[in-house]
Amino acid sequence: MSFARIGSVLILLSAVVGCLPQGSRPGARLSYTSGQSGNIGVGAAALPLADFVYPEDATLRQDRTYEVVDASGNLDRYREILWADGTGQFSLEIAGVAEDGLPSFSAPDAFWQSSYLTRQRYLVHYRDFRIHNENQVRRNYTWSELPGTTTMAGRNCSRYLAESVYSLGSVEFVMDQQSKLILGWIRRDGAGNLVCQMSTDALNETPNLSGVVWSQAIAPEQEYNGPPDDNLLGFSPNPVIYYPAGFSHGVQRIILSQVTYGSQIPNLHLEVLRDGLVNIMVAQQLEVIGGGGAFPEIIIAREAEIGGIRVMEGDVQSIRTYVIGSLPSQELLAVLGAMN
Amino acid sequence: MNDNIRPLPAELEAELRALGDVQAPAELWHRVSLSLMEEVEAPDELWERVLPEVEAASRPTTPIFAFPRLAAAAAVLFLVTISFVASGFQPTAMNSSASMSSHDALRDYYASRVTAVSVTPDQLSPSARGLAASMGASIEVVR
Repeated sequence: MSFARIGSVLILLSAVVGCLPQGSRPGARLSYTSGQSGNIGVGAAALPLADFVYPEDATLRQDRTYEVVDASGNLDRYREILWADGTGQFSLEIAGVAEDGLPSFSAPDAFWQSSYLTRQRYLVHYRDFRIHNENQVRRNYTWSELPGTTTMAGRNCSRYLAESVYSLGSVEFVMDQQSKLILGWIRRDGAGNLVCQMSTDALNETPNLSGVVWSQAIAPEQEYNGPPDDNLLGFSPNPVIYYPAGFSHGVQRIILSQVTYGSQIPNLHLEVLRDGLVNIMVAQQLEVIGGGGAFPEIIIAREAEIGGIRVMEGDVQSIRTYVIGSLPSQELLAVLGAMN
Repeated sequence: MNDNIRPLPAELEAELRALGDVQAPAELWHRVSLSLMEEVEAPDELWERVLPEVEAASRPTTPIFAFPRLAAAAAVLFLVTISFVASGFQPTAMNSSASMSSHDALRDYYASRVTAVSVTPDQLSPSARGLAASMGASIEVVR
């Protein structure tokens, strides 16, 4: 039998099976299981995950430290101050820098201040961890409360561990037992290696917020509504075809960078894939002038590993495409390769 | 003996024998080798000659499935779909291994379509570095 016939038959069968009602599928069950003894994830569909309060949603001044492994394997540390007013407004400032494993912090120069000014919203929305979708977390992670009590910023805290059932890493949360506020998190890859972590050094829940300049999007953003918006991009974005296990599509947005930066930085199509906790950023734009040269039509990608965060950059049908996340390279390459 | 092999036309055989010890040019062997390794477009004359037989022997198919890569992808996708349906979309220890092996095959298939060249962070484009920094990558790379 030829490939053509096999393909046709399989697609037809796939469509028929996909149309079966849920109840008629063999083995269909309503509850989710984690398969890990001792975790509260067993039958977790009916069990709530921890009821977290996230710093950017609270009213506070949070002095904290963000640590990330750099490309050389050293730990870079950044002291940050997060201000939030409880209504969704927040500001993330940088207060100190200690790169390459150096023990002491130095005052941030203009570069660092500018870097945080332009990226603070992305750092809070895409870098910092939070539960985006409880059902996805129940499906994709085992969820357990670690024994004992730990102290952070003078608060008694509980620790919760979410481990990917697909061996794609884990996220550990540190939660203030009294306020349910998330004071820290640790992201590890599938091999258990540290990718990045955040911890709280000091907390003030009745801060003086006068004078705080709240973050605003540096470039305007809007939801991408399909082909009618393609004129803003200058191209039709390639759809994401392959999703790493447990991941699903996210809201597609257009970042109108040309409004802020002019034609040197073309507008960007952005989609963030999520598995409930972890993000993968997929961005597409017309090739940036002076941005590293053109690629041929076959996908030849630049791949860089910055600590545990990996970057794939290649041209897919003449559209510069970026896939960025803390998953293994093979997963990110598949996302990129399937877009061609 | 294979009955499908027909003897050369007498005129052509005579011409070949008349070449004596003359060796075939290397290009000929290269082209023959190439045609064995990959698809080479046949001359129009040949297509015209064999087209009636091809049409008679084949059934109509959807053109998209004439591509072996797409057919292979369809087969992998089907296996993934079946695996997920059979498992009730639940990654339990019992059934996750089968569905994951299918998913891994799909991942490896798509990943194989990319040739990745490892570079240092400073060899990425400014946009790539900026996006990576927004995801929390060590921010020194955007200097």
